[in-house]
Amino acid sequence: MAYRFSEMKILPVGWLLLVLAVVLLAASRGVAFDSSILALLPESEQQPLVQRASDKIGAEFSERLLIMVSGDDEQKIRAAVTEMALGLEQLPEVGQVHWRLEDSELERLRNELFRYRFSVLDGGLRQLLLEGQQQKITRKALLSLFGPVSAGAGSIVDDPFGLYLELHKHRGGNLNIEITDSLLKVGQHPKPAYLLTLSLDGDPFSPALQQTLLTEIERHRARLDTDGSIQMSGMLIHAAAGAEQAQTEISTIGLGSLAGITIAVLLIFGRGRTLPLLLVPVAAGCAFATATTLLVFDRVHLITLAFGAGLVGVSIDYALHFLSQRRYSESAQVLPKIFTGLLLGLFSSVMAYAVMVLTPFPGLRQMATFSIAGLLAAWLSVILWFPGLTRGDPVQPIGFASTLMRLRMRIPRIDRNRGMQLLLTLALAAALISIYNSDGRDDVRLLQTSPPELLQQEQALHRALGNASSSQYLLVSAQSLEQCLQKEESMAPALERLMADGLFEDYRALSTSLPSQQRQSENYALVKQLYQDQLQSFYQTIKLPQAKLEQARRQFELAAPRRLTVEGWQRLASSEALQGFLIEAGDAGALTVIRFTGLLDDSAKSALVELADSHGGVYFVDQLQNVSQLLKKYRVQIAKWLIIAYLVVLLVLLVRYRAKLWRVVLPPLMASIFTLAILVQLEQGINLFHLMALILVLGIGLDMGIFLTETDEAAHTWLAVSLSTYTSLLAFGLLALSKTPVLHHFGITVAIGLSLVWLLAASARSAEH
Amino acid sequence: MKRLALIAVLLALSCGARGEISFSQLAQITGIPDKHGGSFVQEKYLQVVDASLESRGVFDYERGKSIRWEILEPIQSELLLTPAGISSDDSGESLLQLDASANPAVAALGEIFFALLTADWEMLESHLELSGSIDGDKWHAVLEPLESTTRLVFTRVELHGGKLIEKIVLHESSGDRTTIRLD
Repeated sequence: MAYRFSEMKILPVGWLLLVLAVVLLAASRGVAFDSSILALLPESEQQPLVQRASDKIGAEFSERLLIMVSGDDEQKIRAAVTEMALGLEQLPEVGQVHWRLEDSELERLRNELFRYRFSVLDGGLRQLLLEGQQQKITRKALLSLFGPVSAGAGSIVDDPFGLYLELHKHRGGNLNIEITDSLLKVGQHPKPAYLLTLSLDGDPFSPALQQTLLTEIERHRARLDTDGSIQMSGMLIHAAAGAEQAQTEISTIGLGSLAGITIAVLLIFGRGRTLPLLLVPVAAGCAFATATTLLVFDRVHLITLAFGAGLVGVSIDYALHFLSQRRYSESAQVLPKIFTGLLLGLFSSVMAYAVMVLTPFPGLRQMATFSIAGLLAAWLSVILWFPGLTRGDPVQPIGFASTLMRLRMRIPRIDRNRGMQLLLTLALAAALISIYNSDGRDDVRLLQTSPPELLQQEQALHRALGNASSSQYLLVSAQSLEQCLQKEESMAPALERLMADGLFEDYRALSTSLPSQQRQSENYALVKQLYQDQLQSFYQTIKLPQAKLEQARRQFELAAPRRLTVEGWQRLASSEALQGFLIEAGDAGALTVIRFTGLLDDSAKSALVELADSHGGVYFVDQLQNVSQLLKKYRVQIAKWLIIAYLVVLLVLLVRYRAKLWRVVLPPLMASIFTLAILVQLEQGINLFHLMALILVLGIGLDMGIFLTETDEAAHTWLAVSLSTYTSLLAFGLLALSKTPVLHHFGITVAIGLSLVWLLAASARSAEH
Repeated sequence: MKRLALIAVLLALSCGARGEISFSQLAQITGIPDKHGGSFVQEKYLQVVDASLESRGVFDYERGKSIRWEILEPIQSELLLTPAGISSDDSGESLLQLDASANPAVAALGEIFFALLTADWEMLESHLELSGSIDGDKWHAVLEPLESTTRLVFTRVELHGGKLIEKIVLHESSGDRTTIRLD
């Protein structure tokens, strides 16, 4: 018999060794966590490209912290920025602080492209040359010589037509920043505002780093007081806000539920040992599940971990069931009584997760693997270890069991009460209609964990800086970087048109600062034409000697072979701010992105999708929409597979329970339907996280029915399943109070679902004790 | 004579620690009308070719609004200067637009030039440091940018004048120099 396994010493010890071995093996490989939502996307042809682009752009966000200090009094703000920068530079957690640009650097920055003035041209000027409007360029050059204000013009010999001045004038950086007294001033801001950029020397999720950095910044904020305000953007502030929220919630919700569970277990079992005993299979389950997932998938996604924690609720079922029965039977007698129930309970839960392994979504597969491994481990730990661990415990019926059973008897029986049957049927019909008419809710904001004030100030900062969006962009891929740049250039006229139509404010592309070699040669040829046609008469007008004209010509000819190459561009100081536009360039191919400023509405998006479709290897990436679509796919898939899984479970249970099947199945099934209907009303639609929680409700609900039926609805079984409901309610139901959307949705589903399961199970009883 | 010098020293001391003259004195001495016009001769010295380019024309302005700057020789063109920038309506479109976000230092120069011609001393005071001397009803002033970034474009402006500004010399950082005589 299977339940005699525990009598062979080798199995419990073997199982312990296996758990330890798997955990140690996983630990030796290194524990890696993944938090990128994109890691959950199904693999497709395009996805690795998008992944690499978003990794690179995301790294920019997580490694940097932008700080903007603004206020009415320019001098005070300048002083504050200086003081703050000097203070932050002292911190070991801060790699670099960009807050000033020395005049010498600025001078270098201004002149570094001068060498390439004939091949890297301003877009507007190039257009004039293409249209044959050389007169306009000459005229402009003459005006800068004879007009009153013209400072900044190039040398009359090196660049008589002022090509470089024109390029420089329109070549703003990536951000809307002016250099004022070496400080970085935000342009066109209603109040004087200055920018500091920190690069972090460490993980933005590290609490120590957050603490040091934010304390220092807060100190400056306090000193500024009413004179100014500080706005920030970066992963760090979100991570810190998340950590703070988690901390508050753990200390309120977490401690609250822990206290509730401890008190209940102590009161009912009356033994100090019971609580740690309950935790043994839970701990073994979690450790084994994490280790297995790490071994199979290399890294554990944080969402997997969050949902995986849900199986604690199911795995504690097995332990409670065993321990309750133990109080009525000797150690060796327990398993024979409950083994079938435990096995069926495991089967029904594992089935629910097992089908998810078959889906094409890596995220679901990972969650399923995690849950199955965890459930199996918890179950085996109960079966193999509990008989030994509880060997010396006395048989001692629990007084509270009969009290609870009497309470159960007060609830009307469903098969003996016409009124209740009618009521439930009507409610069921209403619930089904409500679910049928509802829409799913797959908003990306479900995943947002930061408080809205934080998001608002961050948006304000990005608007002020004219920062291009990092979540919506065109991804350009080609065999080589040169081809990428050419593709970008061929799209430029279309992009200019869309911009003129007001679909977006502006766009930024690598090719505007690093034109393709082909484009540079074209440009040089255009300028050559300009020199041939106009230089002579230009020099005549300004009455300079022929020798100077020759000198100017020679300068131009000398520059003929000069081209700005990728390597040359990489060495430019001004290229640093544009690194985010070059994702990769190597033998395997090249990837660049074109980014936009201003919000993209639906018409802008569809125009960009159309533009991308008309060029091979160009994709419009919308991370927000991708995530929403992902959530929807997962929701639909889970719903579908859950139904299939439970049909299979139903069949197996039918074989064993026959006519009694409805008592097992009805409570979790009806509770699920009612819960969904209530959620439709309460939460404006069903989302993925509701369904994930519903699996837990179904799992516990089926366990409840199975255990009760297996033990002929013994009072101590009712106690065990009630306790299991109660602990899960406390552990997860209280999450409904959380401010983090994911946890809230999970919690509210568990709270409503488990309460209903318990009430319905009480009503679906057969015995009249 | 000695007495006169003493008075000058005392005057200078009373006017502040650094310069011999102040913006408020300039404002008092000059009587620049709200609307005014005249002719100009401009000489631009280009260091790299060691030669000067001369141009002449007429101008008129309305304080706080715009300056019309019409070049007659050697090319013909009419420029319109406003605090926001310079435009030329040669062909109905602006040729020179000084956009502050593209090049703030050059934009600052445009603003300063506008302030110079229309004698907006308040504006000048906030951007430039003043030194110079007053000799009867004639004065000479040197204005230097307070801001280091602006100094990358021009190092100083010299002004000569009496009731009106008569001569402006702009020294660019590149070594070029623009001299404008107003009549």
